[in-house]
Amino acid sequence: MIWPVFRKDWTLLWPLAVLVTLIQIACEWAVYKFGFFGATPLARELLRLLTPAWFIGVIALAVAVVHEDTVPGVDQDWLIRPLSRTDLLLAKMVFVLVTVCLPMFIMNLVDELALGFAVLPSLGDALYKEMYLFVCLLIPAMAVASVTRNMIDLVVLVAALLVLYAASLWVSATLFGVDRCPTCDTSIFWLQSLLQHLGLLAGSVAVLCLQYYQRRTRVSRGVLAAGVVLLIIVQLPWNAAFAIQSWIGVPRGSSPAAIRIAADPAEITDGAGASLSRQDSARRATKALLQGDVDTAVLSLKSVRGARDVPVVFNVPLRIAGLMQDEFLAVDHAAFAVVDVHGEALYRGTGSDRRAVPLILDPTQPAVARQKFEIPGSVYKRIKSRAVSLVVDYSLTLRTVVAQRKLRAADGEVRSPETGLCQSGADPTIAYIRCKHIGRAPNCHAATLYGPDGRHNPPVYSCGSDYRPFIPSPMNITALTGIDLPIRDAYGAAHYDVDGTDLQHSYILLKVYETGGHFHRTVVSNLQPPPAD
Amino acid sequence: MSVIETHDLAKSYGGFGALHGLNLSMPAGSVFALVGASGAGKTTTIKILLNMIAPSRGTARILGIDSRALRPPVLAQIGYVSESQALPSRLRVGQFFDYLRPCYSTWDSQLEQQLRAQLRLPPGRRISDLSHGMRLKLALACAMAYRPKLLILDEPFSGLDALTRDEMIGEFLREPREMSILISSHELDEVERLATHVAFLDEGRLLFQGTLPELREHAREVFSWSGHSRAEAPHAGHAPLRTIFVSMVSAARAVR
Repeated sequence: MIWPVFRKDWTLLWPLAVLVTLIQIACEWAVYKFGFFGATPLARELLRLLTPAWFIGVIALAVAVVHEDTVPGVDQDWLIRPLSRTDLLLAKMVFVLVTVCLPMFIMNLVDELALGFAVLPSLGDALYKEMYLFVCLLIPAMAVASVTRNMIDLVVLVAALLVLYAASLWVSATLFGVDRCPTCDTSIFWLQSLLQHLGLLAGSVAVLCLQYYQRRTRVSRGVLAAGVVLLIIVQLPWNAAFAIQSWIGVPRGSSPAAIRIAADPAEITDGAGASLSRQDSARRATKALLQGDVDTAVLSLKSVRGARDVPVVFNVPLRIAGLMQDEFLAVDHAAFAVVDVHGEALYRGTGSDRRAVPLILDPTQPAVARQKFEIPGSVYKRIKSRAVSLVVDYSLTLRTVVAQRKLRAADGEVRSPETGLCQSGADPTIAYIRCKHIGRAPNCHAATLYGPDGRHNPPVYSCGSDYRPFIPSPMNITALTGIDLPIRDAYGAAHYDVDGTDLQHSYILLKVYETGGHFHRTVVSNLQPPPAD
Repeated sequence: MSVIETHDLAKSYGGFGALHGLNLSMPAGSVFALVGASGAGKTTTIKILLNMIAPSRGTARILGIDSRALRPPVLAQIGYVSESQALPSRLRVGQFFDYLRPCYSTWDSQLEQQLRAQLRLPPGRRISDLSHGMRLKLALACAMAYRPKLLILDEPFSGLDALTRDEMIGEFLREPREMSILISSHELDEVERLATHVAFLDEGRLLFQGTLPELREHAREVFSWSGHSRAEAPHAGHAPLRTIFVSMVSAARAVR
């Protein structure tokens, strides 16, 4: 009995389905025209406009098809028809698959094949992306639609859920501060995100089953509300998340056991316990809020009310050994404690940067990399006269080169499984390289511009702080990555060995980095007291 | 054999009791009228029978199946027409028939054409553009085209003009067919023309159920002790259904 319902829905909704498909075609055309360098302003503008239109369109279609046979209420025609609930639900899902996912699958496949990617990987990639879109976006949209009768109901419910989400976030941030989400903004946030997606899927399936088989709208709305709160409060602890990442990571490059890290005594580089004014704290909070950084905003607001400290910054010199050439370490997380001679912890904190920070060697001391830590000025005042040390527990990731390719600096092209399809170009001040990938795109590259005589500019790194496996974006099947290589400073302040005068004969060496092992290290650094005034 | 049976059926909405322990039995082949004032519990009873709402207490069986376990094969044998039925309003009349036809294995296309012609249903009109009467006619045609064993009509005459009522009753409901009909209504004149059996409901309670002759017999007794004169009582057997209903409700309320 799926077919009659499908046909009825198609009869009613084909104009919307056609509109959504047209938006999809326009988007795909814009992506194609955008190319590697976004040279067509129309394509760029179209993409900017059509992306939200596409989102609204596909969600509206998923909602509309559910609303054609609403679940809440007692007067609907389908209730007295000989339709099994399973058939009704399947008919709605098939409709969404056929009208949203199928056209997109076809267009994505054409796009991939037009770029010259192989058929089988393209097919698998497009299929995976559509399934992901269906499971993570369309099913939840259908679940929310199933507890409402019409669009107005839906808007009110979604608004209420958003308010609940914001309130939960506020309460959580107030109670736990930055600890409310140990993996947020870190390289392994994708695990938390995956957990949330699984929760979203489980909640959506539960709501759809409750609605279509039991018609328990009130209970379903309760499930949605509980789900929204759980999205905030269920958080993966850092160590558990990092252990999962270590377990699923593919070992490459040097063995983590061979890598040794030692710390020299730490030095104070900034602050010494001065007070921060209320205005400064308020300014900081406002700025953080405007940037959407709830955690920093809450911390700053707390400092308006309470202790007004300027943090004291320590610089810890780290000596790293055991790395091979073309490898570097990234700090994913650094938990530190200030301990006294008896081993008692006087203060505990974490590194201020939540992204994976590459430990880049100091050009003046090639064996040393430096890392900064902050402690509140009030804490420093208490400990500054005592013999204390800094114990840092690092979560680290090795990044190692898996491929390197050369391409002409101007209008060059290279294709490989690791780099994807890359093209180069240049304007008077920069040479640039852009790569399109299908499937999982590597998110760490280094590019070096070499002149015809072998001289080269410093390498430019572009490393994302994200170790996720392939999670597709809802719209684009291909991922676009790139690096800009400066060749001329418009103000004349910087000079480059390779400056673009002979770009036709220059080339770019592109290195692709992948994550190697993930591991922990604990280092101890003595705190040097500040020089006497 | 009963096509509909309820046992101690009760339904509450919050603190309000809509039905209080209803025990109904509708014989097969009968035209059974569920009569009551607005709010008496007629629609609630029907919605429980069709599993649109769950009872607070008791059980209801329809075509021998517990209403909570109604499945598509049983629903395919039941026709339902209600003034509150939300038909897919954006469909056109012809499209609605196209949608329903494959859902019923017993759908009689010839009968469908006959009904559509008789009821003058315009195939190209949207359901939302139809008048109330036309919508009821459409629902009736759709409910009869698959020759259901049981036809349930919830306030089918409400808001209809006299001509349409006569048309519906004369041409469709009085024609002998192999089906049982349950009509809920407070339009007593129409009910009297159709029904073989009647049940009176008032404030969620059953006052009477039986055949029309049994009702008139019962009415004599009620008349005799509800304030009418001894001379009037023997004539109660010939009184219109409306008079009998009003007297029985008044008597019941007086007792309560």
